Formats: sequence, C-alpha cells, structure tokens
Amino acid sequence: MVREKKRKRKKAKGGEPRSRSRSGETAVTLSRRTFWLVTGAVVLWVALLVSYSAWQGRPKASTVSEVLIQGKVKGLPEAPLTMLIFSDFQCGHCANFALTTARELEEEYVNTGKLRMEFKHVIVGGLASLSAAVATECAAEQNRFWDYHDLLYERLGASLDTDHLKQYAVELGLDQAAFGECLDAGKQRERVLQNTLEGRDLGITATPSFLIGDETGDEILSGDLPVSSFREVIEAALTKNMSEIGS
Amino acid sequence: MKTWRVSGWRRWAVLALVLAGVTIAGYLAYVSLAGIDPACGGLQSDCHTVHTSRYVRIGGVLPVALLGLVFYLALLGLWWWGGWMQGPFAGWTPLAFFELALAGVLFSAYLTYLEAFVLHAMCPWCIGSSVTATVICGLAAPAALGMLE
Repeated sequence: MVREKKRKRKKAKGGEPRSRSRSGETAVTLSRRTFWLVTGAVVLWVALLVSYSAWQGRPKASTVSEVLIQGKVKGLPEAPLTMLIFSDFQCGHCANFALTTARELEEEYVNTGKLRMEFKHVIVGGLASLSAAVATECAAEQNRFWDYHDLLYERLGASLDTDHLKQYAVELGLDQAAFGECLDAGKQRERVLQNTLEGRDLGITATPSFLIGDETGDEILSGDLPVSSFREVIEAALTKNMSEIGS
Repeated sequence: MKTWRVSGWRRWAVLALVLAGVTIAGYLAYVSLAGIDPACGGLQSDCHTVHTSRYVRIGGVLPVALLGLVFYLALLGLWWWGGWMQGPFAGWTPLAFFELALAGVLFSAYLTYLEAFVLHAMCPWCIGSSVTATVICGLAAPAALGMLE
C-alpha cells in the first residue's frame, strides 16, 4: 500500500518507474508528458539549427565594404593601382581565380585602399556566356554585380538559361521585376560586347586575363596564376608608384 | 512491456536502412570534403547546384553531409546499444533512437524544402537520405510509443 502510494507520487512528479521484462532487461516506461517534453525539445533544437542554417545561407554582401563597391568596380576610386579582370562566366580558371585568388588579393590590397578591381566581360563561351554576362550587368544596375558574379562562379557548370538566371536573382534578393525586364530586353548586351571588343583591342586573347597598372604603364597577366605572381606585379607597381610620387 | 529488443523484424529492417544511410551520407561527406560533385547521372547539373550552394556547410564550416554521417552513425550506435547492452541506459534507447531519427527527419525536410523551392534543383542522394531517415523514424516509432504508460 505504502509502495503503491510512493509509485503514484513519483508518477505525479513525472518520474518513470522501471520494471524488468521477461528477458531480464531493464524496461523503462514514460509518462505522456515526459514523452512530449522530450519531443518538443528535439523539435526546438532542430528549429534552432534550421534558423541558423537559413540565417547563414542568406544572400550576403561582398566581403568588401559596400562603400567600396560601385557597379563592376571594387575598391577606392583614389587607389593607386587598377586591375582590370577580363573573364568569362563559363571558364573554369576564371571561377578558380574569382573564388580563391581574387579574394586573397581583395583582403590584401583592395580593402587596404591600394588596388581597385574592375571586371570586364570577354565572351569566349558562346551564347550562354553572353546571357550570363548580360545577367550580371542587370545585377550591376542594382549594385549587386559582385554578388551575382560570385554566385555564377560558385554554380559553374549549372544551366545558364533565362529561368536559372532569374532564379539566381531571386536567391540574391534582387528586384525581380527590374531584373527580369532588363534580362528579357537584353539591353545590356551592347555593353557586354563593347567590353569584349575593348579586351581584343588591348590584346586579350584568353580568359582570365588581367591588366594591372596605373597611368604610367600596365602589365598584362594571363591564366589562373598563383596569388604570388599577382603579389609580385602589384608590389613592383606600388613601389614604382611610390617612387614616382616621391620624385 | 514492449522494448526495442523484442520489436522483431523492425529491428533488422532498421539496421538495413541505417547502413544504407551510412553509405549515402558517407559518400556525400566524402565528395563534400574532396570538393567534387557526387555522381548524379542525368541530374548532374542539379547536383552541382545543390552541392555548391551556400547551404552545404553549417556556419560556412561544417559540411551538412558530415553531420548526416554522424547522425546515421549515432543511430547505428543506439541500435547496437539497445539490442546488446544491459544496464539502466539500455532501456532508454527506443526513445533516444526515435527522437534522434525525428530530428533527422525534420532537418531533412528543411533541406528538401531548400532544394525544391529555393535552389530549384534536386539531388537524388539527398532525397534518398531523407526518405531513409523518414522510414527509419516510422519504424522506430512503435518501440518509443510502447514505452508510454
């Protein structure tokens, strides 16, 4: 009788009396309240994980302060050096440069005000490359060129049809109506083709290619070079630039 | 009293599914850490989109596929513990197994939502893992509910 009272008291507190099954193992019984409390805790834990994943997966601004981004240019207008990047959105080496080397250079030289990067389209991959380039120009109209640029390179190999290009704009939270209108009208096509012609005039024959320099002279680099090659050219140009200012 | 140990065929079905889950998640973790795309046949482009998206690493560091592998290995551990170990904790394994599987189902549902409505690309390996986790959870439910008074 006393044991039964104790058992009821324990149950009232949400405890779990134990019993032994025929096979000799310890079996556990649960009150419904405890079961739902545990299940609620699991659901809450997953909800927190989902919220965190959704938060960190949201479209992010570029690593460079937004103040430094103007259209297809990254960096302070008064930076002593300019680096023109001639690139195609279907080119694997270009993607590798954009997602690795460019980011290191950005940290080291763009964020410190020594270099400004400017993107130039060179269409070598045909119509799909042209469509992608036009889409980035449409993103540039909303000052989100670099975010769109990064996304295209992250998804290298994925379809570049109009539906996908519009979907990327949705993912980045762009004004869909304006983006769709720009893309459908193809109004940035001329600008892209103009970039390509400029590149040819400068002797650019492959992607990625780079023109690094100031008013006094430029150096052309080609290919997915290691960051050390860029450092060497940039440091030399910076030294030259400083000595010219001093003299 | 129903316990995990006496749940008969379900136990072996669950083991088969957990091992399938370990295989799928192990492969996805491997490709994720190696920085390559999983083999997806006709859906290669979709797989590329999914596996290069911003959502494949939690906090930008931990690959979701690795989390999936840890999830299935934990299920395997609980399956073994509940079936072969004695002691006070063994009796709790039906609940722990079910709750862990439920967490896996809920998180998989979120990932499937991302594929269908955000990325608009479906990765068959991921769908396979989601379905596996869901069936495991369904099979584990009777043992957990059997613990209720």
